[in-house]
Amino acid sequence: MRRVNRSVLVALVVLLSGCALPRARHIATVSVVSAHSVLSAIQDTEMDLVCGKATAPAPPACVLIEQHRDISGKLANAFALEKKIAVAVKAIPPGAPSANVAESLGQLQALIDAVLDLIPRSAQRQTLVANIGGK
Amino acid sequence: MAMDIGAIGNLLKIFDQLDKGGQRGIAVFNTFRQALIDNGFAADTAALDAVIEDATRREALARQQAEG
Repeated sequence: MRRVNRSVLVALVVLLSGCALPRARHIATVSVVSAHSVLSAIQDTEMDLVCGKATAPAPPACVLIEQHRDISGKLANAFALEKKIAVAVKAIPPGAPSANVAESLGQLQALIDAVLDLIPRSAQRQTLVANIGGK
Repeated sequence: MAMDIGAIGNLLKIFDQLDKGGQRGIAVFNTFRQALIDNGFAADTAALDAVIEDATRREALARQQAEG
C-alpha cells in the first residue's frame, strides 16, 4: 500500500526536490491538486464503509467506529497539511526556479498511506485504490 | 522536463470518479482540469484557491467525525 498514486505524487516530489524548473509553481500546483483529489476520494469512500451504514460491507470488511475516528483524525491532519502546502505554493512568484515543498508532500504521502492501511480489505477499498492509482 | 502524460491521465480519471460520486461540485474539478491544461499562473492560482476552500471544508468534517 506504499505505492498509492506513485505515478503522480512521488514523481512530482522527486522533480521538486532538487532540480531547478521554470514551471516549478505549475508542477507544484498539479501535485497539490493530485493530493487533494486522492484525499477527497479516500474520505468520500471511507465514509460509506463505516459499519452499520447501508453502503458498508459486512464485518470484518466494514470500518469500525473506532477505526473511523482514527482515520478521520488522520484525514483532518492531512487536509490541514495540504492547505499549508497550497498556501505556500500560491506564494511562489512567477518564474521561480524551484518549489520547496517536497518534504511536506512526502509527509502528506505518508498520511495517505497510513489512512489506507487502516481501511479493511473490501471490494470498495479495492476500487478506491485502483481509482487513485495504487497497486 | 514535461509532466508525464500517464500521470495527468491518472489525475483526470480521479477527477471523473469524484464527479460521479456526486459529493463534490463539478466546478471544483473543472478548475483543476483547467490548471492542468492551461499551465498558467491564474489557472494555477484558481486551482490552489479551490483546494484551500475544499480542504477547509473537508478538514472540518473530518475533525467532527474524529470527535464522534
